[in-house]
Amino acid sequence: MAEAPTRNLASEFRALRPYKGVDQVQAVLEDATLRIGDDIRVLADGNQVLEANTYLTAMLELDLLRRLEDPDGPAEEPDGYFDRLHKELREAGIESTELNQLRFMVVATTPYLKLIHVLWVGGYSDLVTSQGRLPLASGGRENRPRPLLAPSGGCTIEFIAYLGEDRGHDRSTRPLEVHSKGTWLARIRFDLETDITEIGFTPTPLTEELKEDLLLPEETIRYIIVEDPLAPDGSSNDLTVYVDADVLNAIATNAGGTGARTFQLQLAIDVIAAIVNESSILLATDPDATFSSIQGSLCHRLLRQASRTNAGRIDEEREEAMFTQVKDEPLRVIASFEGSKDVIRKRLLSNIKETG
Amino acid sequence: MRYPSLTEKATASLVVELLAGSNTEVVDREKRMIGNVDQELDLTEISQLSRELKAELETIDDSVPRDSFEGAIAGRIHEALKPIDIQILDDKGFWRYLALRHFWWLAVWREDAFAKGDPGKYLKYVNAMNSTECVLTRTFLRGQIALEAGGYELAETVEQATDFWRSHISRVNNWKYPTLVRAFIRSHTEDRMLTDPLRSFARALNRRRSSFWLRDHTDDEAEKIVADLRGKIDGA
Repeated sequence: MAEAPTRNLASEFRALRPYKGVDQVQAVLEDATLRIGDDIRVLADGNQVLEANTYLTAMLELDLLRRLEDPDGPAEEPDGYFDRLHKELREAGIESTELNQLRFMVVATTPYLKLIHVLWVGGYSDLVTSQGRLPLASGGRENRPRPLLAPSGGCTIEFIAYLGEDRGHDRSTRPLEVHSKGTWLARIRFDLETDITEIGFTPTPLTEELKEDLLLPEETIRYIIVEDPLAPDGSSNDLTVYVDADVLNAIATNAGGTGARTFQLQLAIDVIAAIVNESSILLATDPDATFSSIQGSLCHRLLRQASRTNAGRIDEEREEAMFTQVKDEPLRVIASFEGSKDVIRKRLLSNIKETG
Repeated sequence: MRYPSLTEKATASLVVELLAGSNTEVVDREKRMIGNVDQELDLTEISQLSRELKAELETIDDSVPRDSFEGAIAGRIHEALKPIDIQILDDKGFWRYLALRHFWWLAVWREDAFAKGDPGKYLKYVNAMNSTECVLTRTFLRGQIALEAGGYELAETVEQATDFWRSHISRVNNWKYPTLVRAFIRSHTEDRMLTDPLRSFARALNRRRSSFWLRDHTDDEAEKIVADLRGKIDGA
């Protein structure tokens, strides 16, 4: 399968987490897909734009089983899936007798309204009983979880495998293993938004007064402030994009024109450059920051979207390489985005939208 | 349900008019009604609450920190708005309408940027693009998070807490973990951290959170995490 090398390389990437074997558990969870209605299947760590009505009414189910050929093809048998999961959990140090200490939770969150709703929770035996298919929401609006009733902001659905209790053994005899309650072994997410989601980094008109206030030259056309692109769960709320007021008016009156489209694309690249440069500066002053510590940040989401294969999978080797490059060669990262206009249009622009 | 909404563009121009002294009734000129025509959202109670809060504000001594008032009204704002459909609360245009039509006085009083007349700074407090910046949405969320964490009173226990709530609760993932929020608020209330230690603590908490899913943690366990991290910061 085309994705196989990605899975094999997962260990290099996940080794940044200080626990043995969790990367392989992560790889098993990344086989999951989110089913939305009858026709839509979202890959792990994927981003899906839905019609608002679909968002508000469609059935949701988390399908853990690996698709054998392609996302719409047949799935492996549940027994095979749980054999694989069990094996990788053992590699991570979790004995068969400890499986009941694991918890699995699916939550939906809306960052805009700060809502969180537990869609499914259970232990290992519950997971086995489910046969790898976790019902998250039935069709229709009746009793629908609140985050799934928020189409403007969209939501994130996360599946987390974690220790439900302290393992209680002598840590010194089991180094590099997960020990404490709450430590997660693997987690995946699905970002859902709709065709009515507002773009988060709507440019602020850069007036003459603002230029003076911001100590910018009169000729300034655009200026971007990024607050903390490494903060977990960052969003485009952390971005302020200023565009000269006259230029902004000109774009607004001719939004579909070639010049306007080119400017918008350039603006997107400028936003990317600002995130990458600011991240690079912060990483240089924070030696403790790792890829795992920036999970969910603007920087992380940017790299994740840029690291997808044509099949939509995350190329973790590329992701890891880009993270290193952000630290060491930020200009090279920016250049790689400039060569990917389709990626910017299709994925980056939608993904750095405010999802809540 | 039909409800009023404002576009970003209309909000920007209305703010200029309001700053020039127009009555907030001008906001209705620009509102768009969204949703099904079967029933219209009744904002009578919201309007009444706004008038009550404004009257209360006028009785408060100027020396009282503005954040204290924000914290004190967070629960009432949340309680009044939470019955509204999520789909409406999820619409930034609805918040813009409320912020300008009914709570304009609050935003103007709360943020100095309005007095300076700088659109680049004041718009974020009313245009609802960022729910942790807009005065009305952030106050609502403060009440909501406090309620989840144990009760509305938690919204006002930390003094001068604007940055605390924005930077360390609402804007980061801490809001997802009610017991952690409760422990953090209690610890900071009992033994307030100064700015630098608070930032160090927040960074350490972010790192801890990046490896832990804290949704199941009990009060005792959350308090232990907070105490442990504070001990490390204090000992550093």
